[in-house]
Amino acid sequence: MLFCTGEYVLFLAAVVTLYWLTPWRRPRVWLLLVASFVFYASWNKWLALLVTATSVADYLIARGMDAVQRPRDRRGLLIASLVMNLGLLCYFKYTNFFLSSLYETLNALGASYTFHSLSIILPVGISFYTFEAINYTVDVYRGKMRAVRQLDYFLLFILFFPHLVAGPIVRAKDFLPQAARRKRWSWPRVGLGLGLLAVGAFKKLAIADRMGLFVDPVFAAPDQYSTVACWTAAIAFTLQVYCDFSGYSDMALGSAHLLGYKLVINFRMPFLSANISEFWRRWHISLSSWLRDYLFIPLGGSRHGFWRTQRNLLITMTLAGLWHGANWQFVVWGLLQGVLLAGHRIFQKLLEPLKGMREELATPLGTIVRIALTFASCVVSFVLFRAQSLRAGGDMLARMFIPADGLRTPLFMHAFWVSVGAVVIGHMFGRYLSASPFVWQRAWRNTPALVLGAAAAALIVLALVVRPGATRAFIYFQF
Amino acid sequence: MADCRLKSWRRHNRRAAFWLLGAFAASQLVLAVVVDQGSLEIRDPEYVLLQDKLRDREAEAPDNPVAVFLGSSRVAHGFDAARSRAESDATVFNFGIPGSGPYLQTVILDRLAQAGVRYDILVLEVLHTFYNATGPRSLDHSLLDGARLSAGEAAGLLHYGSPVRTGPLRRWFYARALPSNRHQAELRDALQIDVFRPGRGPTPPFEPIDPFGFRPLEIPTDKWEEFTALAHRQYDPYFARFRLDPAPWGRLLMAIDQARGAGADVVIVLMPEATGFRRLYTSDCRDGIAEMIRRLRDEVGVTVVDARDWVEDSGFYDHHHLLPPGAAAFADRFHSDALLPALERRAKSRN
Repeated sequence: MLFCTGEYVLFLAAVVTLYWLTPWRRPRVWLLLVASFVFYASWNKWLALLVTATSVADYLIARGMDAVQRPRDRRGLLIASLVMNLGLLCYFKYTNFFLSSLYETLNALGASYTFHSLSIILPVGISFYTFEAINYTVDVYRGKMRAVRQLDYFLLFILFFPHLVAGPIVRAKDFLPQAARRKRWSWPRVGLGLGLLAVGAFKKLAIADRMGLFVDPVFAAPDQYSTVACWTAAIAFTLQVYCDFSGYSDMALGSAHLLGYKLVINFRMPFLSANISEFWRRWHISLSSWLRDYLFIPLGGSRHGFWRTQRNLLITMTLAGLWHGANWQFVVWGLLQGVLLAGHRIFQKLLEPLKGMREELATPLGTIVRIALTFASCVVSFVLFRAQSLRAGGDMLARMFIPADGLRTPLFMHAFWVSVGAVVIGHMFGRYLSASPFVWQRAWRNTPALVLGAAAAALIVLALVVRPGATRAFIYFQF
Repeated sequence: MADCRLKSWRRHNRRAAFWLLGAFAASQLVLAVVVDQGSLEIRDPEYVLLQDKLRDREAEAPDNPVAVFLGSSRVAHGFDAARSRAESDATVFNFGIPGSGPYLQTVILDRLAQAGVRYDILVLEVLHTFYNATGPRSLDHSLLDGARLSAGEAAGLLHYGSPVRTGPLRRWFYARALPSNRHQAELRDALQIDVFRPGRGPTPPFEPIDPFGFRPLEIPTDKWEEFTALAHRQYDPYFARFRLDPAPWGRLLMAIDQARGAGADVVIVLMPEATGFRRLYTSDCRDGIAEMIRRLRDEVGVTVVDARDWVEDSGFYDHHHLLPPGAAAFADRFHSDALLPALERRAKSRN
């Protein structure tokens, strides 16, 4: 059940209606639990049972941690939770990858084995809800929060359908108090939710899916296309993955607002970043903050000197790459992000004594150059993210950097430029609105209701009309 | 003061939410009116494409007699009209539309009359499965896409037999309720979005159609078995018994009257079938169809051409749709056995 299908619209409308018609707080939670289970079971009911079962186990483990006092027992329970969650993630997501890599290594050493991949169904959203469960048990272990007593609240934290399959990765300490809070119908919240749903649908259907028309044929056979077509496809993919995932996140946030819940913002105009560190503070924020809190800092963070920090960055981002997918190209993509982040830190260190250069880079022109360079590094690195294999990614990059003739893009370019323009305008508008916490509220308040409503309706109609044929699954669903 | 501001904030958001819903509903209403009443190109681009081609062929030889062949996919893919043109001085045009049954045939004739498109001989396919009332629903119920009809054209569905009308009417209603969804591809084409470089994008939905309306099908041989199984799943239940369904029968008579009203002669054709289908006829079904043919000949007074066994099995890929060689063979025999006599009869009657 994809967010931008009629099926989901009907589902959401039914859930929202029943939810607000239910006068009691606890039955509302149960209603959301049933709806979330139905939502997940629309992909696979057995896997829905699996998610529920592991969530119950995490609930019991956390309760156990609260009950026992000895640090050793608490650590044992935490390890049990980590082994269960990461074990399931590894089994479902990485078994075939590890086995095929092992076979390839053995064959490279002279053995002769044939690898037959195991038929394992990847539970939708496993990477996301596993991280949510881990943040809960780790926070309880660290004493940052008490284990929740109400099983239904905890299950809702994991299973809540707006964030279940592709995030944002929610923190227990943010979500659980919301589950317990009494909720009242709020028109500002409904308006915000509908607006986010409209913007998300537009990003996904009108831009991301359209960019796919430029991307797919070129990435399928880069050696047949010209250098210009390859650059176009690489830029198109960068916009596609942004609009696809941020569109999904907007719709997730919008759906949650309609039910009185607030999820974390996942993207903040990432293409306005002036360096790669800033990019990762604006891109997939819920993941990057999770990695910071539960991987980078436990590894030592930046507390143990310059080079240990660099090492921690490389480890964190390589694992972030592996989190995205069980393929070597994701691993290399993550490593490349780590190298870029480490390179940025080195660059900053080199700049420290060069005051004039620092001032030059801070000027508007210098900022534009830095934004352009950051965007270019994203475009180039995302080639590996999209490529079918490392070799295909290498072919694509070679085609981009060694001028070559070949086929042109399959569509005429006006659809590309219109989409680029939409993303640029969206970023500029977003930058204006987020200048201070009150700007968007003031803008929202001062804009006539008719204009707000008509603009949102126009976005929905445009998205419906200009989407290129059948709706594609969200890219991040595969993770 | 704060309370007043909060109330105003709530009211503002409530209004915005209602304006969203209202503006969306209004946009759909406007689009529905445009699609339904204003633009046949958006509502039924397949028809417009064929009509334009027919007009072009007529303009090439304005004095030639014109024969138009209406029918389902069996006709669209199974009648190579250009071969008849080569053999005679008549303009022969294949107006076959996949899924087209008796209801859509009358709609097409109405539209041709309104557009002032001339035809002298109307060849009408009678696919008996459309006229068989023994199934749980008729083929028009399953295949007729109500979205391509205007409100006026769809109004006839209200009196088109209860098991028939529900499907197309439902499709019509959904298409008009949310035109930006159902007619999305057509609207996108009208807005010139996603223009593929020639030969580089997905095949346009109604290509390839040759200048005479024929749609040659090249189906890979490894797909034949799959399509044959599909065809039998779809049609086998209609070969056990035959009871004439009065609703499509009434539409067939209406189509004949329309053609006669336009001054055209009518030829009814039962399109070729492979033995895989022909051997399925039970005696009840065979007798029922024979009775329908008799009534058409004797009571309605039209020429009926039963071409079900005209083409060898090798001419089909799924026992009822013809491959290009089969379509050529059928067109040749149809020309000599049915079209030329019809043209001669018409010439004699005119003289």
